[in-house]
Amino acid sequence: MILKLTGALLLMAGGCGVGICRGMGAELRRRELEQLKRALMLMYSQTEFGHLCLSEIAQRAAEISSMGIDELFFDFYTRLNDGEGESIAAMWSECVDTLKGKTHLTAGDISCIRTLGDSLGTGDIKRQLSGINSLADYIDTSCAILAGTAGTSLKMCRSMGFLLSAFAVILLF
Amino acid sequence: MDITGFINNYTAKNVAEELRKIQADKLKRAEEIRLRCSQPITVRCGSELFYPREGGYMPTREDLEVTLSKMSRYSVYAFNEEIKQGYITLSGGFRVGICGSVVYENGTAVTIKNISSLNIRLCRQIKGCADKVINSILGAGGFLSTLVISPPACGKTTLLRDIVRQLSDRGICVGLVDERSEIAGICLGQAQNDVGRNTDILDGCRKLDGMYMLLRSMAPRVIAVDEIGSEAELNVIRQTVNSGVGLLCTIHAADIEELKQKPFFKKLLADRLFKRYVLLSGVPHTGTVVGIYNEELKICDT
Repeated sequence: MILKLTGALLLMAGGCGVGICRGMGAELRRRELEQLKRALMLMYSQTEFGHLCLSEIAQRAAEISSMGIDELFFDFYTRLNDGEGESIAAMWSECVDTLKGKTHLTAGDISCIRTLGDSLGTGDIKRQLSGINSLADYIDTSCAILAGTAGTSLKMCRSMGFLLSAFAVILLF
Repeated sequence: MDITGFINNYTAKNVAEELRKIQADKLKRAEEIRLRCSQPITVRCGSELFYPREGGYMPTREDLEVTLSKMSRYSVYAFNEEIKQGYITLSGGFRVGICGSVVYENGTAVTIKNISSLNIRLCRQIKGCADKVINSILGAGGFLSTLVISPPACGKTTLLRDIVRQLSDRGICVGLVDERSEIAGICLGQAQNDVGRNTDILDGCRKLDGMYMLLRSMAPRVIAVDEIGSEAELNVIRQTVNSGVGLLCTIHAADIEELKQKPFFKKLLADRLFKRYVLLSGVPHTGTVVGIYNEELKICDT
C-alpha cells in the first residue's frame, strides 16, 4: 500500500512538474523574443546611423544577446564573412533553421524571423529598416500576449498536470 | 589581395568560373574586367581587349547583383553614397564602376537599381614608376608644383600614387585628398596601397573641402589631388600655391594642345601655378612618360 501511495504521489508530482515546465516554456519564449528585439534594435540603429556592414552588425548583435539568439547572429556573421553564399536571404534562412529545437520559439516565430532575410543587405536602406520594424512589431505583439497570459497559463498548466496525473492514478488503482 | 583572391571573394559563382578560365599570365596583366548583362565578359590589358573564350558565359542580371552584393560585403545600403556617384571602392584599392537605372528623388540621384554593367578596375601599385620624373619635379628649393596630364586609363593615378610615396619617404609631409579612395585605397581606416610614411590622407572627401581642410589643419608641404578640372577649384589651388604649399594634381587631356583649349587650364597657365607638367600616354604601354614640361610649357625632359 505504501508503495502504491508513493507511486501515486510521484506520478502526481511528476504531472505537476511537467505542467510547470510547459508553463515556463511560454516565459522562456517571451525572454528569447525580447533578446531578439534587443538585437533588432541594435541592427536598426547601426544600419541607419552607424552605416555598418551587415557582418559587423551581426557580430555586435551576437555580443549583446543570449539564449540562443546570440548563436543565430554569430552563425550569420560567420557565413557573411566567409563570403561563399550567393544570396543573403538563403544564408539568413539557413541560420534561422538552427533555432528549431534549440529555443522555445514557435514555428510561427521562426517563419516571421525568416522573412527578415528578404530585406537584409539591399540597396534600399528603408526596405531593410522596414523589415526590422515589422519583425520588432511582431515581437512586441507576441510579448504583450505572453506577458498578459503568463501568470494564468503557468497556473493552468500546473493544474492540468496535476489533474492528468490524478486521473492516471485513479485509472491505475 | 591579388586578382585570384578578388575573383574568388567578390564575383558571382558563374562569373568566377568563367574568369578562372583566362590564362594566368593574361589575368595577371588585366587592368579592367567588364561585366555586362547578357553580353560576353571582356578583359582589357593595356590597349588589348579580349574575351575569356568564344561563346563563353554571359552574366545575367542576377550575377551582376550577386557580384555587387558580394563586393559590398552583402551590405549594398552601406555603400549607397558611393553607388549613387556610380562606383564603389573595395579593399585592395579596386574600384568598380556601376551602370543601371538611376533613381531620382526630388531631382537628386539616390541610388542605382537594375544593375546592367560593372566595370572592375584592377588597381596595381607600381612602385618605382615615378623614378623617371621624380628628379625633374624636385628643384633646389624642394618640390615644384606638378600637373600630370594624360587621357583616361593611361596611368595618371598610378604615377600620382608613386610620386606621393617617394616624396613622403624622402621626409616631405604630403597631404592627400583621396576623393574616390583609389589612391591610398583606404578600407576600414587602413591604407591598402603604400603612400609613404609622411602622408596624411583625407579619404572620401571632396577635393575642394579636402584641400582647405589640409591647408588649415595639417601643415603639409605638398597637397596631392586626383583629377582637377572645375572652376570652383581654381581659388583653392591659387590659395594653396600662395601659401607656399606645393601642389601635385592630375588632369584629363590627350596632349598639351588639347589641354590649352580648356578654359580652366588657360587660367591656371596664366597664373603660372604649376612649375612642371608631366604628359603621359598609353602608347606603347600604359604610363609612358611622353615629356616633362616647364611652366612655359617648354619641354625640359623626355
